[in-house]
Amino acid sequence: MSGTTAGMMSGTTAGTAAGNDQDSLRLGAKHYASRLLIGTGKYPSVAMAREALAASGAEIVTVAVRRVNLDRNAEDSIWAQVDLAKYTLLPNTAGCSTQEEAIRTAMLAREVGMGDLVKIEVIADAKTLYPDNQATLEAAKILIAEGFTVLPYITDDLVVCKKLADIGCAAVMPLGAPIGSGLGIRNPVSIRLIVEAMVDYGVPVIVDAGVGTASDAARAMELGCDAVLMNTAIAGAKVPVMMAHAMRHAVDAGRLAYRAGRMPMKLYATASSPLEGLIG
Amino acid sequence: MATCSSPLSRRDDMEAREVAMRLTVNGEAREIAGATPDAAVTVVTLVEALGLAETRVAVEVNRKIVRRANWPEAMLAEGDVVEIVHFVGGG
Repeated sequence: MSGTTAGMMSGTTAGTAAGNDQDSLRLGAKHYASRLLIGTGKYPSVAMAREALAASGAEIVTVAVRRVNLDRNAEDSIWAQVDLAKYTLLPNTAGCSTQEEAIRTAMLAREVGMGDLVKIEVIADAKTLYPDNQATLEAAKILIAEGFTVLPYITDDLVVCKKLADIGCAAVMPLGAPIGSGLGIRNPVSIRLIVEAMVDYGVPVIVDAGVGTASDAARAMELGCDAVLMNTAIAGAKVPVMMAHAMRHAVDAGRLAYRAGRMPMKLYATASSPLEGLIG
Repeated sequence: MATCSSPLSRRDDMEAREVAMRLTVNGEAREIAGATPDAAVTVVTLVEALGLAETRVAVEVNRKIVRRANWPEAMLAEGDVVEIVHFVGGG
């Protein structure tokens, strides 16, 4: 835990939102107090990535599976960067474009990390990085049978989410907007429909990709999402560590607002101060 | 038992060698110097020669994962295609 004032403040907020009343995120067999999942790519330095991670309060961090560079020391390995006592690693299958590649990558990830958590990502379009939902579904089926805890990255498609929930995915991860675009939650209606459908399955909804700034994260949480996964929104900010703080607060605030239940919207004003006792 | 007097070399550095086991490791042609094509070279030999024995890596030989516990018994053969992967930063 960070010793800064901001760190302590956000710790208090997290306590209210997640700790004291058992409002935790469940993925597979594990519970997490934080509802913010953080990617570890694209940081200007390892030190900054580590600092941003701490500031975010995230407990789950995504990593990618890549060839070891044989001509260099393994200094680019994530093991040197992340305190594994604090964080759960969520390996992804980024870069895969077929279900076979995704399955192969997931198997290798399990061998590297000795954990069953995997984010399935099968990319079907180079410009938008939109996922191939069908291939993702097929890969998910096989990996679930192999004992993985599967978190699939998909488009904001309610029917696909229902199919993924049916086969036993531990969560569904619809995009808010294309990866790295920072466009925010482009289709809040779709996200809301997915959230409502997944309540019946008891499957968490994690918005993955598209968040650009704190209000986007809060919006996703206010829509009822269980968590938000982001990378570029923090790594690509001018001051990533400060943005990590902002995201932590945004996710907590959005979650609390969702649980508190917002007031109904009205077209016209209603006075907040009493109308009786006005001076003559 | 195979001797691996020097670490793995790039194949192009080793053109003059008489005996060496040739492998493809992470897409690069490599040779284990001093190892004859039918010598007993295991995954451990390779991983140690690369200085990766203490790091968290996964090894695939000809597209099949070799679990760490099985590295000492897993024999490599001339022409094997090996992938050695680890975790890097990513979203």
